[in-house]
Amino acid sequence: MRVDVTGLTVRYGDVTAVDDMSFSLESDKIYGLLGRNGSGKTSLMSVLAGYRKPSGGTVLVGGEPVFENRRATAGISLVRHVADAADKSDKISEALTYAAWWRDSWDARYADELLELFKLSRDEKIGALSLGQRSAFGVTIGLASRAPLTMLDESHLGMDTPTRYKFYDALLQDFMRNPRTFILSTHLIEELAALLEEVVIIDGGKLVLHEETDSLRSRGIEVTGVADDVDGFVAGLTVLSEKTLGRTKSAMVYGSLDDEQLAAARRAGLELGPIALQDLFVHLTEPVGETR
Amino acid sequence: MRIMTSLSRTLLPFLVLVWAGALVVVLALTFVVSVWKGVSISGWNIAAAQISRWVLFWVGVYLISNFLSIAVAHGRTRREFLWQAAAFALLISVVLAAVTRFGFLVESLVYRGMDWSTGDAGGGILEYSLVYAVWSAVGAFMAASFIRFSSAALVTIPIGVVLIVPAGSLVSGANSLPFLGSLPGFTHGQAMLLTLGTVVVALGLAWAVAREMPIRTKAG
Repeated sequence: MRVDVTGLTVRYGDVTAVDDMSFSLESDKIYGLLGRNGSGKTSLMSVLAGYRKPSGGTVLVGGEPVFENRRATAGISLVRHVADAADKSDKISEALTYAAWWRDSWDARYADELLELFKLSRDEKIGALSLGQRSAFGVTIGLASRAPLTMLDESHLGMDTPTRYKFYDALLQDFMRNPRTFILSTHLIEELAALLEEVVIIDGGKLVLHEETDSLRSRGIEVTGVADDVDGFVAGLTVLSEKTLGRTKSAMVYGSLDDEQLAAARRAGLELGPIALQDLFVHLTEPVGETR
Repeated sequence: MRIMTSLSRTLLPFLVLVWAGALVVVLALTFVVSVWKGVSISGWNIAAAQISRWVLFWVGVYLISNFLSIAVAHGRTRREFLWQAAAFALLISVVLAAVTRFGFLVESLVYRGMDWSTGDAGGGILEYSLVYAVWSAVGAFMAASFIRFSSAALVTIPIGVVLIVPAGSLVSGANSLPFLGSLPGFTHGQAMLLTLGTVVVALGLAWAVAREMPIRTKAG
């Protein structure tokens, strides 16, 4: 489901959480929404889901305005937190019953598969679940909604590593079987990077960039080799981060290299590879004056 | 009507059971009291006229604070939730008024058998329906106000009090709270019409406030 955001502004009293933001997302892709804490991610997703009326600008999902428009909201699922779709005093089975009653596209069989995958019992009360189990239940609500626009706002962060990997596999399999638009907000950028087709980075309520993941990675290069050689090669370049192990060093460099630099790297025996998305993200959202 | 149906399936049996349980407890307490003194008032009247109104107030609060966010999270609009929740509140008011009336009937049979007096007790199904409807609507209005406007919604408390005052004159024993006086100069019919008006106003206020109510992240 296509998303068009134009001049979107969200204010809370004197605080502007989203400031005149515009972008468009095509249908049936997995998008990463990246931003530091307080950058406006949750406010943006809340408006996209009709949880909140925008202070200004327009949001169209599938060509329809979202707020209080059933034609749009019926196809949208946002999981910020499991508590949105259930009360803590409810059992999992009761919360799933609400979903089946109120979500036309709800896939009860798939929900059962996910409960089994995440080892959740239908008889457990949501308030008694651990943080990781609540995250898994939230992800279950999002995936089994089968909503053409499904947004998961850091909803997998409470899971342990093996469970997160199960979630990534489930997400990818579901996307292959039922292509739809996913927007995933996360701080675990490198873990999710392989799933993301495009990345939207916001900071301070403003859009920093919207780009294909591969294209974004080409904005920088990882240079690895003998420490002295690496130091010599990156002198004068914008270095985002460095790691040293014994005599070996790797440096994340922002910007592309010209033919002469590439040749110099080969002569020095340096390895060149794609940059870590997380380092690019940190660089692009670094406050002015704190650049390395 | 899927929302109204599901609310009815979730809350209606629970509340009817609460009413039935309350009746059993009230009758048991009455027998306990009768050991020490003669019974000259209706125990069920105290529960029906005082406690039950607050339960209906809680129903209004619960609909907005709990079910509205669940409905929106599952892709429903506030508009479709609110009108079906209003219909549910009216339905549950009538059903519980009927159960309340049935409680008076059971109690009167027990009292007759024990040769006790209920005193000035009771009220019709219509009267109790209006009382319950306005209390649940006021609960919904105030819950929506506090969620949307936070502490600024304190100003809605006097509005809520004004809205529930006329209903207090419809059933016996309901105006014994210190701040709820009777309505001098109104006939029963006029008080019924006035209460009907407050139901409409309270529902309208709840609708107006909740239509643009944000769904905030709940604490984990």
